[in-house]
Amino acid sequence: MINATNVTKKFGDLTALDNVGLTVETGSVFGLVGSNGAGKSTFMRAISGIYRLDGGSISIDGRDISQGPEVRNKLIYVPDDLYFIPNSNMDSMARLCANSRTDFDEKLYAELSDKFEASRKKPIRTMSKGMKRQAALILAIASKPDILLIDETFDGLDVIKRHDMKEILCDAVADRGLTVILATHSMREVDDMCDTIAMLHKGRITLQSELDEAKTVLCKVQIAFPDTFNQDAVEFEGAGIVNFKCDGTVATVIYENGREEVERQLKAKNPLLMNVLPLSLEEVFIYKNR
Amino acid sequence: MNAIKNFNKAILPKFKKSLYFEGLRQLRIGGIVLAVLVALGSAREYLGNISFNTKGAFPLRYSLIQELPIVFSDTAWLVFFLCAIFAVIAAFTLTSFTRSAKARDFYYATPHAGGTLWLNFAAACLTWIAAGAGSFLLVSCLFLMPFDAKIFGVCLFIACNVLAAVFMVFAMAMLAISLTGRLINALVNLLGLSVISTCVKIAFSEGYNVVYSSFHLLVPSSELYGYDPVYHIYRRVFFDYGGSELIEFAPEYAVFASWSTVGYCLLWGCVMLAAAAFFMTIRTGDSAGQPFVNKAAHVISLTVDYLPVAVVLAMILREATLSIRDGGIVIDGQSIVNTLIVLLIIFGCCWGLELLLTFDVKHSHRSFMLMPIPIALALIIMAVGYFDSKAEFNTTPTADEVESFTLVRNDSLPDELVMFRLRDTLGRWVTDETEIKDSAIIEYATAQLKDLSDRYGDNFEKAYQGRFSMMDYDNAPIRDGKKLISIRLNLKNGKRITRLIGFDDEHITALQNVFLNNGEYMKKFLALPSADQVNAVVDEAYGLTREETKAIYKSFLKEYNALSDEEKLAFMREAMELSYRMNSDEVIEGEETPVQTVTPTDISLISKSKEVGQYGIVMSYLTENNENYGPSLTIAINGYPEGHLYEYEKWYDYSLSVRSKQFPKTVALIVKTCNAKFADAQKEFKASAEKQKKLDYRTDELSVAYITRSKTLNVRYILIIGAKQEESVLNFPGNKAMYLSDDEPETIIKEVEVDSDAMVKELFADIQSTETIDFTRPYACVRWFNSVDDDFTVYTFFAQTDFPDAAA
Repeated sequence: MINATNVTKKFGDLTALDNVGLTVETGSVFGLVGSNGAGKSTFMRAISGIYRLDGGSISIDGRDISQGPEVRNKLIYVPDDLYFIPNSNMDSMARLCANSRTDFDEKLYAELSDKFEASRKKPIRTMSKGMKRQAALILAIASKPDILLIDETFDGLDVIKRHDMKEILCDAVADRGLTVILATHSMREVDDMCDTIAMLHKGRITLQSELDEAKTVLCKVQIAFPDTFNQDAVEFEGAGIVNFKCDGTVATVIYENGREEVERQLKAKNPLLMNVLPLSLEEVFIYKNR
Repeated sequence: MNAIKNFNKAILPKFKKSLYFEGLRQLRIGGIVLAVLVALGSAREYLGNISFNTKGAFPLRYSLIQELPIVFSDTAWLVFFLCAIFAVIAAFTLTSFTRSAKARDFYYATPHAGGTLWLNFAAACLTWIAAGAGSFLLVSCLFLMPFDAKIFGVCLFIACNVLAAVFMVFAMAMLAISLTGRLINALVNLLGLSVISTCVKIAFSEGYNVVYSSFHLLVPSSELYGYDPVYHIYRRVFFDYGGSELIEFAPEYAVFASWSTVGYCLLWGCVMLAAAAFFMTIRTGDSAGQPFVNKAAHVISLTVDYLPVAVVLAMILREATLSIRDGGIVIDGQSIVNTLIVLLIIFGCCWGLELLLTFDVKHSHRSFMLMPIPIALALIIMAVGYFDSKAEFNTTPTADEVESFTLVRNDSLPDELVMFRLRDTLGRWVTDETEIKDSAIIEYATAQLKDLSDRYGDNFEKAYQGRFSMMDYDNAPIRDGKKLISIRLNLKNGKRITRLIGFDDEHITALQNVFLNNGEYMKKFLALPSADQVNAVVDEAYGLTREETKAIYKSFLKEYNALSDEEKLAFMREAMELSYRMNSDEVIEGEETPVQTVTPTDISLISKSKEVGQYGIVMSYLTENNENYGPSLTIAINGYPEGHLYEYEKWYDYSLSVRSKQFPKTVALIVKTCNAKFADAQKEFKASAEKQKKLDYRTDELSVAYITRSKTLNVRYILIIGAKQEESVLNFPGNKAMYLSDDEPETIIKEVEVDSDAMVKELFADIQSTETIDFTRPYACVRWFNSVDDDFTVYTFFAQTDFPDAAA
């Protein structure tokens, strides 16, 4: 289990992470979503031990990461901007991984390379962006980590490979309790894979919950009245309207409140029509952080 | 508290085999290329030297041993250069995680501390560097050990020397890298560290005084400091390695006296590497790409980077604002204006450096805040120099305060005293063990010192008073008509000071007499090693074998030991006159042997030019037939006691000229031995005579000189058929015919380039129709070296004559 408490990281005058606290359960797939510059990558690097924290602490299975590099023995970070040794190929990178980590599985590496038809001898610098990402993921998975942090998870992968990679990750989670943290802009990936999500905005956590719960933190309602109306008509005390879109006598409204309260309040206004619509994760992200 | 303890323990660098091998693997291509380049480069140098020596008149084995310092300096420089380049590139390559965010994200996320990564990668770099030095050692052994198995010790030592120097460069690079997260800053750091390393070296080396004063800081003159080996960590360290200075000053010490250099390089390298390890251990991933990794590194970086600026500033400040006289230059002008200019220069330097280090144009005005750093450093340098100089001025002992003095060994002892340092073992005795208590000399030396101190002290004060005119300074010549000798004064209060004093002829003679009157010294001086003690007897004249020269040397010793001390001394002095020379490459015709007495009429035959030993034969022949000199054989004896091959100070180095008047039996033996050699040479030459008739003048091996009378022209002429040979002193400029006057045979009337086959044939026909050549008689040749810039023209003439018979 990864436990972050009041994590603060500053770069000069900029506070990249501001008292961030969250918990990632072992064997879960955790989605970290946020706008550009929200602090996702900084947080990933903080967990990886790359950055020294200015405040707070991060522990992995109860051991503070500041206790030394051994704490992150079973952790692998796949950054957005990938590193490969100059003029290396996948095999030479595999040897680097094998030399710098204890559990690198040569057999698994060979299997995954075959499965993804990766050119192991081809210089990585000549590969496309997607192929590089694929190579990095193969190497990371073959290192058999307990915790895998992936920044911009499947950026550049085609649909089929993306699907296969997801499957492999999910299998690893199911089979050996791999914990995955995905930092991404893609809500679809999070929707597809994650059990839990956290939303980061300007260095702060704006939401952390189970995926399904996350979609209910807001309430989207389609409502109609006999005559044309404005936002005041659907307002009530503590309504917290984050979006109001009216088309004649029908409007779509998103409330910060829970579904029960909204339904109760709106029914009291005798609308012609009232439907509670499902919210996408993207909508939650947009309206939660706007 | 425990947490801190655990934390520190956890981040301490650890050796991890897998990471070490990973480092080796990543550098394998560079490392292998380095080893191959070093091997090929060294092999090329050795082959070149062996090739050169086989073309010369020296027996290969001994000439190689004799020229070891030169051979090694050429080769070791190349090896050092290659290894140092590799070391810097490897250091920067393997530590990319300190600068690149991408690499940082990869490496810092591994379960290894930054220090551990650094330690293992550094070990990998050093292993490949060692492989490069090992390759050098292997090639050196392969090429040189066949000549003398004992050379292994020297080879090993030179390889260690190179390795230590490269280690220091590597340590410098690692420290430069560890202080910053940016490439450009690391390079600037490396430059600064190089300056510091050089300064440290200067402070502890013989060059201390010379270089110190040439920096034009505050030392008025090296005279006040003398040349004091007390400061020695001997001579060769990193930056000397970068040039030919490895042998430039004193070929006799060269690489052999530099264990201390190895020590310096290792010690200083370890200090820098330890500092680098410290900074790498405490730095985190945050610092990649940042100009400075933490406050401590920031301060050190700035100091290191600004030091070169400060040194220059100290010089400018001294010259421009204080008008200190340096090398006769005094800047005239207003002090305030000069000071403003200096301040402007300081600001320019600071601004430029700040911009370079931070790439931040917007905030480059911060450089104002940094200005105090170079100014403070410059002032510190000036202050140290000032007080150092003041201290020297104030130490001017009177004759009563001086107990004795000793000569300080250096390479600039006047000729009159050269004989006293003929052998290094004696040189040490003369300089370190002989305390001179002659009151007249002490009186003279202290008076000179007082005068010296007064003049410089006065000039020094005037400089600080802001006097700008040269007229203000007392520039009375101190050295005129005197010979400068460094002496170490041993004061009665136990203090020792070293000064460079000008000695006039009278006192030089007095100094000589001190040694001549010293029975113990003369006993040591006049004793020669036995033939068994001598490991190498090099005959540069007749191409004799080692056994033959040893036999001659034994005969010589027998006769020598029978002489009185006066006769021995006379012989030693004369031998010195005849054989003194700076360097075996610098053979100056007419000085070493009286060949100028030869006229073209003496030269009657033609032959090939590159027969080994011919030059020496003619030299000897001419010497023997010159009534001023008498017959002689010059034998250079290089020897080293068992187990001291690499301790050159213990080598014997004699050059003896044996004369018939003094050593008749030896000369008889020489003539007998040499005539036997001539017989062999005759046989060999007879065989080649047939080939001579079928001259192929275009082969590289060929060079022929003819001197004859032309059949068609009413002049004598010499035809030089030359062949161009690259990379050799035997570099012929081309084919040439020279027409000589009949009346004045040494005057060349005109020269003609022989540039066509037809012309050569015509000239050959002309020659062959005039004279018959008898190749069966003893012959000899002499070469004239004409040097214009770097091009050597070699004229070879052969003299045919009867050599003196042994029985006669």
